[in-house]
Amino acid sequence: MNSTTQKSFRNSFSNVNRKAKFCGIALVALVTFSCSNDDNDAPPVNEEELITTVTAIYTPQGGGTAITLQYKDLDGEGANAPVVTVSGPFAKNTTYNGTVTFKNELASPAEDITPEIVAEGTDHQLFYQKTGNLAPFIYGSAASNFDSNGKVIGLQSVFATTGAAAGTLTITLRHTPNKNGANVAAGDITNAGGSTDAEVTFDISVL
Amino acid sequence: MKNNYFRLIFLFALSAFAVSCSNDDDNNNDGSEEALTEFKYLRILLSDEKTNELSLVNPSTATATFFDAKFPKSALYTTESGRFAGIIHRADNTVETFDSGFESHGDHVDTKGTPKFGALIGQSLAPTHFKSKKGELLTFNDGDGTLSVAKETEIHTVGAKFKTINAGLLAHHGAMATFSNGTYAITEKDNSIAGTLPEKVKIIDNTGKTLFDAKIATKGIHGNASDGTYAVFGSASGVLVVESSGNQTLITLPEDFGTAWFGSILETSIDGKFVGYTAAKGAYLIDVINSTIKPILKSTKIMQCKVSYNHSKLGILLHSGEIKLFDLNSLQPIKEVKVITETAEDSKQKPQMTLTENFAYITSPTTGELFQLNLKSMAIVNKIKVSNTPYMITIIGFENSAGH
Repeated sequence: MNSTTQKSFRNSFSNVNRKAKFCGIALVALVTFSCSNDDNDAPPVNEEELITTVTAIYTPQGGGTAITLQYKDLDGEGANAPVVTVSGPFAKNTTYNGTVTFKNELASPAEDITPEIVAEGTDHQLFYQKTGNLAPFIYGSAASNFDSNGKVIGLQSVFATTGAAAGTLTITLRHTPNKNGANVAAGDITNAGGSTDAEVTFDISVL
Repeated sequence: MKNNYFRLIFLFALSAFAVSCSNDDDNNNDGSEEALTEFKYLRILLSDEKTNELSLVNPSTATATFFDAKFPKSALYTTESGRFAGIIHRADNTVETFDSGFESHGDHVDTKGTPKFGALIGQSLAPTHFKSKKGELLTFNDGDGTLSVAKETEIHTVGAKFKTINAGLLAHHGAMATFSNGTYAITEKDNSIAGTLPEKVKIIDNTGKTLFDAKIATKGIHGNASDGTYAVFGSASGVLVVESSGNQTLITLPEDFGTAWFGSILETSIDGKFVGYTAAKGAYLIDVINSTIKPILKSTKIMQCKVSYNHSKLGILLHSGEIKLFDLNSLQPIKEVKVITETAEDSKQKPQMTLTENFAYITSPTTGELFQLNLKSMAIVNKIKVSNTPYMITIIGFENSAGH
């Protein structure tokens, strides 16, 4: 019985003329509220969070053509192969600001998981590993790229090209990494530990 | 007179309130969400007796999705990790794999993909007995006495195949167990008894080479379980306990067993303790360290005897439709209640049961439903439509609702 109903019950006895009306209402209210099935009150279960799509957009400082890297695997591990696209080559001698987003496109509407990664920033860090003669990808310095402890989350990166180059870029999202591990703050995944939430690799070139 | 009338109405209202509230309070007295709904990352997989349909039930939402296996009437087993299932088509010499899409990270679960079949498929002669330890899937192939082995990590590898381990055995209805050191206990047949059951167990490595010969010959072996240290086999001569060192012992069956013996052995969460079950006598706790066998439930009316997903409870479903739940630490009955209608002992369509920490799941092969029984209230809280003639059942996924 909720407190409102209890209070109504006490008040009802202060006025004999309202007793009959009150008792009828109270009876209905009591049975209605108390009969509600708790089993039906269970909170709804959220859809499972599957990262289907990782998108990294690199925008040249000072304007120019942005380069979009996208990994899309709508059924996750197994069965259908992921679709990996790179919109084009990076330009030489250009500095790009990159931003990564994560989505679950199986949900309807598609769910952007990125805000959750930011909200749980202390539990997440992105790593950028390159091969070939590509220049390094370094973390962006904006305050929004860091968690509440001042440790890097890494959704933003900077890629400063020089001459022609080619190689791969692997973007890894780690869950509960050791952000105090040796060189982890600088983006070295070697001592990061934790578990991998997403790992995607792109073939890129600088022309 | 007027006051008595209002007092009467008031008392009636209070009574209505008390009666209508009582059941709900009993159901939810621990206040946890999981007391009301199953864990978010847990699924129930069912095969069908007559069609290729597989039903994947999400018990937390009481919904089912459906998949087409290669054949009907498959046996289902969960892999060691809990993420995958092995689908055994004995009559069709095929093993399929199925992925829940969930990966446990200890304190939470990641969703790695949609539920789907794995690329890994096994082809062998009458694959029957299935085990999964040390990241491996193992089948004993009754048709030629070989083992087939593959890794969980290969399930989505296109073109991956089971590797055959041939220990030079005669074809028989065999079994195997994996030890923590990676070696295997495997049954062997010497035809000292008639029929398809093996008589002995030897230790082999992953190439099939014999490391330790059998030391004890029995009058027939069926059913086994292992905790990595002990491989325990049901046998007509007693409970055969095998260690990776090659040591073998027999635990004497209870005096009143006569010709009965355990044909099913189940692993528990307690080191060195296993459940032995025979329809002829009931369910017993086997202590391989102290070589004792204690009754849990003496009964000749048991239809299903299953250990819960976390191996801490024993659920026994009787032909009468009554379920009895036991704590495997204390061996004391926790709850018992009649939950389904009686099933004739000679029925060809018997309900199958599996248990989690909070719920039991019982198939209704005549109505095509899965009953979800709340183990706290002992009430059926959902009847979920599955394929028309559910056959076998297994749990995949994790008793965990924590995602990121």
